[in-house]
Amino acid sequence: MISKRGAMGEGVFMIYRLLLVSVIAFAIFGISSIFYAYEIEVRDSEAVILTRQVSECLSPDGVFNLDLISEDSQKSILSYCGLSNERFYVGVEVLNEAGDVIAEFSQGDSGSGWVRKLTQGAGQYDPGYRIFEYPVLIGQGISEIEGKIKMEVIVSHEF
Amino acid sequence: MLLCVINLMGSLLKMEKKVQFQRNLLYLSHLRIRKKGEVLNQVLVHIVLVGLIFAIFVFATAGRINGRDVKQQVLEKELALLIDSAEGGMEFGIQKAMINGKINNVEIKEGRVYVTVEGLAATKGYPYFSKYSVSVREEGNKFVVSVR
Repeated sequence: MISKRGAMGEGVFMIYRLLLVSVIAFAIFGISSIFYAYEIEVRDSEAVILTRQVSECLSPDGVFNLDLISEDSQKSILSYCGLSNERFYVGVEVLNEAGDVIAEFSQGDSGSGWVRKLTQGAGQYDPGYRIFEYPVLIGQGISEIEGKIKMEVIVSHEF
Repeated sequence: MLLCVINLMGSLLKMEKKVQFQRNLLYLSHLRIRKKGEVLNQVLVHIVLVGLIFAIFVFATAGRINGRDVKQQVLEKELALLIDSAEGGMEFGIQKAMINGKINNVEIKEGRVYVTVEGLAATKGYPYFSKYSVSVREEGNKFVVSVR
């Protein structure tokens, strides 16, 4: 048995310890819940969907007709496909069999690609970026040649 | 006289210190002879109380993470992705009562999807980029989104 005074002293000490534990728990969970960012990242999925939509628009059935795209549309390829959005950048290169670029189209903020290249070496996760290559038959005039389309898609953050 | 008073005070202080020291010794000896069971009980009570405190905070944090705003964001983004990948002529229904909570309203305006979950009105919404015309209508216990 311990004396009354001793028991009281221990009780006070226990309250002090519990208070300390509560303060630590509050600091850990309180602060983490305040700063908990519940941003759900879907830019990767958007980049995949956008790539599919643009490739279907440019080369339905695997045939890409260069004559269909006017010079005005070359700098607004997203609008040409009816997919305009200020968060996107799409760059398309049409390559022949030898790998030479025979046509280039783009639309969107190309600066986002520049920022991405700057932070590339930082080892950060890079959502919303996709490069996609696929073979197509390129039609120009009456001739058709084999080639491929290289597409770069960047989906910027939604603020 | 003054010297005498100072001497007296000094001896009183020494006595007080001695008494305090003896009290401390007595307290320590009491602690030493306590049974093992008492210490174990106290440790158990401590562990239970500390566990309770942490459990309260864990549940409070979990409540924040599974809050209505998170559910709303999940639903808005899922709906926007569904619309993005839908072909013309497709329709899909969203049940009002679902695992993510009760959906009060689904709205499509100015290229954005807005979902009201458990009374929490949407503020920002999430943009979609479909080339088709998108509309939403209420049909019984579900909302139907049409892409045409």
